[in-house]
Amino acid sequence: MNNSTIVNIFLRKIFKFILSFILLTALAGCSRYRVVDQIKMVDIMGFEQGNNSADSKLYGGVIIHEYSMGKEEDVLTSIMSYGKSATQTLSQINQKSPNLLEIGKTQVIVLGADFAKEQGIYEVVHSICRNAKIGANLKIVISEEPLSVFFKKLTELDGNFLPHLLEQNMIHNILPESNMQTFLYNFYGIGRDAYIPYSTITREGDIVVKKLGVIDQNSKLKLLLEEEEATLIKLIQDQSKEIFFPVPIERDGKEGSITLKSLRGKSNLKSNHHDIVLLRLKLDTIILDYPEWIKLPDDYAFLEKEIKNFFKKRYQELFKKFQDNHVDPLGIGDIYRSKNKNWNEKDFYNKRYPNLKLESTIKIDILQSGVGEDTYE
Amino acid sequence: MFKQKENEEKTKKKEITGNDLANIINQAKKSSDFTSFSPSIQEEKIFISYYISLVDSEIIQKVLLPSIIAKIDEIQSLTELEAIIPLENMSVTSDEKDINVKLNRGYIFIQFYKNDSKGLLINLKNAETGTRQSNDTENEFSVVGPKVGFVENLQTNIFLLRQKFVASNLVFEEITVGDISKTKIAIAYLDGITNPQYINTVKERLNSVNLGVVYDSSHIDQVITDNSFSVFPLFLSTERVDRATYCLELGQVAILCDGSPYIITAPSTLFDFFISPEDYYLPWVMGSFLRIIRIFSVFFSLFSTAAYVAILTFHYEVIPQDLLGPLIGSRINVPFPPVLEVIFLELTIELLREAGARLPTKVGQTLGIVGGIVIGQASVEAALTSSVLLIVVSLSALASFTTPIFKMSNTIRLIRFPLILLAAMWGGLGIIVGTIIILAHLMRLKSLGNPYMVPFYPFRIKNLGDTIIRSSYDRSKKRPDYLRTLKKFRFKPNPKKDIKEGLDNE
Amino acid sequence: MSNEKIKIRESLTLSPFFLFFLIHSSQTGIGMLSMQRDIAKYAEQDAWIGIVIAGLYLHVLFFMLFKILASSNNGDVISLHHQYFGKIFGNILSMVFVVYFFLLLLLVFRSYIEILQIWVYSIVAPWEIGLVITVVIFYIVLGGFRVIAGISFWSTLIPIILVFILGYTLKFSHFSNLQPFFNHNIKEILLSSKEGIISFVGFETVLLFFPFIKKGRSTKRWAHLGLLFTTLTYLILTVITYAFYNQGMLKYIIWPTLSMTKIVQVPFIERFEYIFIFSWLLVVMPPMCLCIWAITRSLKEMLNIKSSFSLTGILVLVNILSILLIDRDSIHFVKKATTQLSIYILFIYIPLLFLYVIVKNKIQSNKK
Repeated sequence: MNNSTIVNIFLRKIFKFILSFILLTALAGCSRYRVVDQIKMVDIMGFEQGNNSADSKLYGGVIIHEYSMGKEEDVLTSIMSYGKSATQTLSQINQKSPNLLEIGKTQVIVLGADFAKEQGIYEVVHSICRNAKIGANLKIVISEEPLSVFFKKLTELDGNFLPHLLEQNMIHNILPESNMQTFLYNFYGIGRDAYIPYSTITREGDIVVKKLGVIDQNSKLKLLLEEEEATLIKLIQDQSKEIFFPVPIERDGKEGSITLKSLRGKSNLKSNHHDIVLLRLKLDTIILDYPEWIKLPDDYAFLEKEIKNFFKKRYQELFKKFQDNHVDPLGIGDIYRSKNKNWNEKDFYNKRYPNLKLESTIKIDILQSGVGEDTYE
Repeated sequence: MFKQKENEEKTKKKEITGNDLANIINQAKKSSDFTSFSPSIQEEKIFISYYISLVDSEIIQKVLLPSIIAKIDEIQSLTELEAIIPLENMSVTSDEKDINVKLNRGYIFIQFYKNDSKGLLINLKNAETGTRQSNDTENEFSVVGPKVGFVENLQTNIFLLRQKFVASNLVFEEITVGDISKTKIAIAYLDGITNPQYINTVKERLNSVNLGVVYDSSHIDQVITDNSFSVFPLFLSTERVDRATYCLELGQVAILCDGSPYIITAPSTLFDFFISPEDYYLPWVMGSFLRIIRIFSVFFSLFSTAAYVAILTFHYEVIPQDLLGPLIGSRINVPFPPVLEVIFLELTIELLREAGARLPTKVGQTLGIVGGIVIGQASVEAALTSSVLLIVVSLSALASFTTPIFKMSNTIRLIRFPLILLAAMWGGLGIIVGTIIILAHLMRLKSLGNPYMVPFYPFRIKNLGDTIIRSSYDRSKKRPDYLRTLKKFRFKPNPKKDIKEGLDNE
Repeated sequence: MSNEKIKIRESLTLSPFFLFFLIHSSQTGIGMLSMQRDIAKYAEQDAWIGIVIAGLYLHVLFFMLFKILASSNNGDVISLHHQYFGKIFGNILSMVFVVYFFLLLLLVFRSYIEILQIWVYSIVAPWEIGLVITVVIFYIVLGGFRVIAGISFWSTLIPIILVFILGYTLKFSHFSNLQPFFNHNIKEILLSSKEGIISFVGFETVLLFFPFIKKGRSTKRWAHLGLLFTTLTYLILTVITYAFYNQGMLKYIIWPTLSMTKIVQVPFIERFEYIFIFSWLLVVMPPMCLCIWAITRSLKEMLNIKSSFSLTGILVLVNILSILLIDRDSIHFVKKATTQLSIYILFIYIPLLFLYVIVKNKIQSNKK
């Protein structure tokens, strides 16, 4: 046997030694394991204002799933605690739990409305979003009720109630689609402002998410938009235009309201260089409910005109509302930024933004109105 | 790795004398199945010696002895004897080594006088005793296609192969390997098609083998293989005649071993182990689909349990939301960490498999049901394992049996265990590290000098047609490039002569 | 080292087709994961122009490299240094390359461990992850150049599937983020190029493995194709990143490529970034293996040290140093040092060497 084989055997021994060394040391530790049935996964976490002492600036809570054999007993429990900052609150909550709490599967983050209005959400968002374990499909909600009431209500309901409620409303109803990615995009983006769904509990005790809160430059909740205004934003921002919309109409002194459902459409927000923002909206709709003094299909043209005027008026009012409150959820600043080489955020919002005019071109096509008609062709 | 010559005591060459021949016959007489007699009454001439157990006694009694006895007085020499006996394959020889070997192969030895140094050797071997007549290829089953398989007799195997290569240049070269067993090994190839480099390599390797007894062709396989440390089989072994025919036609070399129903073909690539003859008997779309399923099941079998361990121990975030409930719910009362659960179940399945292989057939089926269903169900109810894991493990065990070649399915089952251990230690990082090491290992392997992973690495785009998918027959008219055959085309298809139908031809 | 042409055994050489994969995979390492943010520091949304500039310069560089290597006896840079500068001074120059490859190896190694630590395993000690990766590198490099070339082949193919996943980001993209075009002056764009150059280096190992490639008409073509492919990949990735994240967000996200994969939703797997990060080990292997192979080969040719010894030694050294680099600052320091050294080599040394070789060859051919 010559030298090279001896050396080869020696090297192989080193190889085996390293391997066994790794094996021995690796099996020793068990703090690295996150075995799935020994940890508790946070489903929803929430933060709001605590009392004003230094130790309890924030009041936070988590809702965790208690899985057990079989799906029928899907129990939710909530744990709440005070803390100095977002992550510190979470660790305080962790101390109260018998199992390790893991936030990797969080689906919704709830923020208190007063907290968002007064303290601003920057710190909470910043510290949670830097955690690598958070997904990008997370949804954020602002809750009008205090956190303890809200969480208590949620624990009485089904397991995935809140995430599914939000998702369903975003896809099929009035809320513009927003998840962590779009929220952060609007939040950190210069020339844009973020908006967050706003949830309330009705008198009957149901949780509804009908309003939209707009966050301003100082990361405080500035403006609250009602259901209709939220829908108007959704028509511009989202690609899916599938919504129900009640429109008030009047003719010859008679007043009524029609419900239209829009199916498809295109929307476009552009600027020209003369301080005019051009909004183009084209919708394919169907009419669902209409008062009895309307006869379809004769009145299609009338209805289209009414709806068009309605949208124009409402968009003007909405835009003025944004300008008065110095918020920009439509991202008009961003549009101007992409067209001008010397765009400055401060200058734009101080000088130009309040003086912009909105010109909207709206085209409504009523496709059909169901299987019944009022007159023969 | 070749076995080094371990013989240090070289036997000296003995001189050829009549004494030695007598020694051979005396030694042979120690066995009770050796007989040496003379048909003549006076016992002075024509001494016949042979092993009774090896020889076809019908021919001796009906053909040989009558012809000798009828003219026994007239025979004066060995040559006259040779002329009288109506058998073929006779030779006169005085090479005592040859005589020794041939006596043991069922030849009879006729000396004219008792201690003659030379004699007549006649081949009267009873070729069919002790071997099967047919092989139903139960181990490599296919629904469609011939179920003819090789048997333990070399002559029968050669016969079976010759049926497929009529009037073509199929050559069998015989080599004797093994000091004690002197097993005949035949190297088969198509002269003019197979690259002579492979033939020479096989011949060289076989000639330098130094074994006592050759038990089986897989014994030879392990001795002459390129890398005996690897778990991956480097030579394909099959007992189906159609598979061996396919390999020979492509330009590979086949090694047949007397006494073994499996023949070895070389050089083979990794993907040869995943093709099944059924792919070729079914339409090519169907065949490709089956092959894709097979390859997918290999990956599933390798990685599913390791992924289970990694995800449940380290990376819970990967589990989809709806699956969390069933997964966690199924593991609630299980006292072990996932890796112990998995090892427990895997070992149970290996136990079942090993036990099932050795059980007598009548008991085997019942125990299979008992083991599979009852033990599985009971362990779930006793909360020793989770039900989800039981599904995963049994599916992956089933998936590992889809590979047509037995050796490769063993390999796949074996590689799973290090992957599970790596996943238990480092989660996803362990799995990817294990995969890269397996990949690097596969790239180093060579079968008879040919890289093991061709046509994927080194990349040969023209040969991809027969690996993951099976392309239609009119596209597979060329032999694969990596076999470097002397003739490229297998056949030349004629263009279609059907009358064209359809809209354009109305 | 004698001056005759020393041929590598024919069986060890690879077809020029592999040059494409070798060059592309030696460039794509961990630079690709955070490059978009680093270059946005100066030129913001115009930084993609910086990538194009850097990529184009590399073609010029490769042209110079081929001419240099053609005049070398053995086909590699060590013998070139010996030829033109004598044994001792040549060895000193080659040592610079050895140090450079070592720094590159250390940077890639430590950065990948850091990514694993931050994204997946915060608890596991970095030395343990380092040791595991070391075992893999050891096994691959021990197999020789063919195995490394095979790994670089697979490391180009498999992640292509992953790149298609980035199509999911289109749903949330606004391509107007890239406007206004040419908002920045040439100085800022060149500074962006400089930040991005660290993602393009790694191909200098071709100076050492060139003798192992069969020479033919298509050798240069495959090399340039490999460079082009890398540049295109980086360009597309940067454009997609800037459309997905606006400049405001990019300030906060250290690894935009990884954060982008969070948005992907595939049935059965909810957090795709784990699959992405683990498969990235396959992508990160070729630069590390090629650099180590280059170091062992240079040490063998310069000082006649047996390759497996130097392999073990270098791996031990890398592990020790990566334990010493504890935090992000120290890794940043190594990155800066490597960038500086690579700029000196790519922009100063190689053009000078090229000119020197050309001039000297002209003089010698004039003498004849």
